[in-house]
Amino acid sequence: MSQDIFVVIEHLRGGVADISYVMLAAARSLAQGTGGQVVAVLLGKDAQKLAGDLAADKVLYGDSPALAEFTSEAYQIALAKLI
Amino acid sequence: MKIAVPVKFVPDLVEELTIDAGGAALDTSWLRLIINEFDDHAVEQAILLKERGGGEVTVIAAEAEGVDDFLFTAAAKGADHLIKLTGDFSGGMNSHAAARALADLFKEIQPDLILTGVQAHNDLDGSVGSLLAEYLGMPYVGYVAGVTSANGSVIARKEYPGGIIAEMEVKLPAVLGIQAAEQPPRYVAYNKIRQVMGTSKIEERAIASLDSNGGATVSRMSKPEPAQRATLIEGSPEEVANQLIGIFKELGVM
Repeated sequence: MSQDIFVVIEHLRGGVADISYVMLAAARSLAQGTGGQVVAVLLGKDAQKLAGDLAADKVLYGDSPALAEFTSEAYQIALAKLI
Repeated sequence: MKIAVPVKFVPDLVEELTIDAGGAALDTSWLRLIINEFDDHAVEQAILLKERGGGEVTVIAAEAEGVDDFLFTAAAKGADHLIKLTGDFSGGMNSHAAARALADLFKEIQPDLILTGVQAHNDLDGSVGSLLAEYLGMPYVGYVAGVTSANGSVIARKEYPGGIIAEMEVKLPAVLGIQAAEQPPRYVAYNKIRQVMGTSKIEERAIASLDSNGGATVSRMSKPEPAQRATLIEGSPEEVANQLIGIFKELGVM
């Protein structure tokens, strides 16, 4: 099993939610213990630019019209495939 | 439309909470339980839907002190069927276990719509609603604050941060996590509840075993530990002001 910590980035109307930065910081401290990487998962439509200020070792970006607005089902399908 | 509302009881935070000898759970011997506020809203939303469009409302709760009164109160508000899950729940029931037990029940009673509180203050294991949707293969929308029924589907009003409200059309059968009903849970007079106690029946369903696999378990529980982060400044208002000025200068903000 990979020791990486995945953080699902929350965003709305072009801005990353503060909680995502808190989660990235928490993931960083967990990753130091596991020796894995912090992986930010960003899902959306034309939202690549939000990846710029995410303090992660790697950002996985998924782009689809179905991900333009948050719905649990679309996120679940995309995340399950990624994981 | 058949509407099912699974609810749960949670510790009353007004009371003093004590940790049991094992150190990983609350001492339940004096613990007062109350209905999870969000579940109370889910019941209200179900009754509102029934009043507007007809249907049947079933309220389901696991055995606990006060559950019978709550179920009869729900019946006095307009619920048609009351189900109490019985079994050995002394080891606690995490959200995975609750969702699995409820999923088995719902496969049998086949509701069109399941409304449940979106969260509870003692949830450590995710919300039951989303797990239930997964086990039943149904769509799920959480943080819902208002539901109207449409043809074969419902329109769920969902609040996003920043004052945005989305309306989502959800095909039935579906599970909705209720944050707030369209109106606060209604009051029912005790004599009406007494009346209902004579005519309504609580159906008991035995849960043979709980499957909590995949869920979180508590390894240690403690009261918040005081941190050495606060400094108390004492003295007359002038002395306090002078000390504050000293601190601000030291920090370089003055």
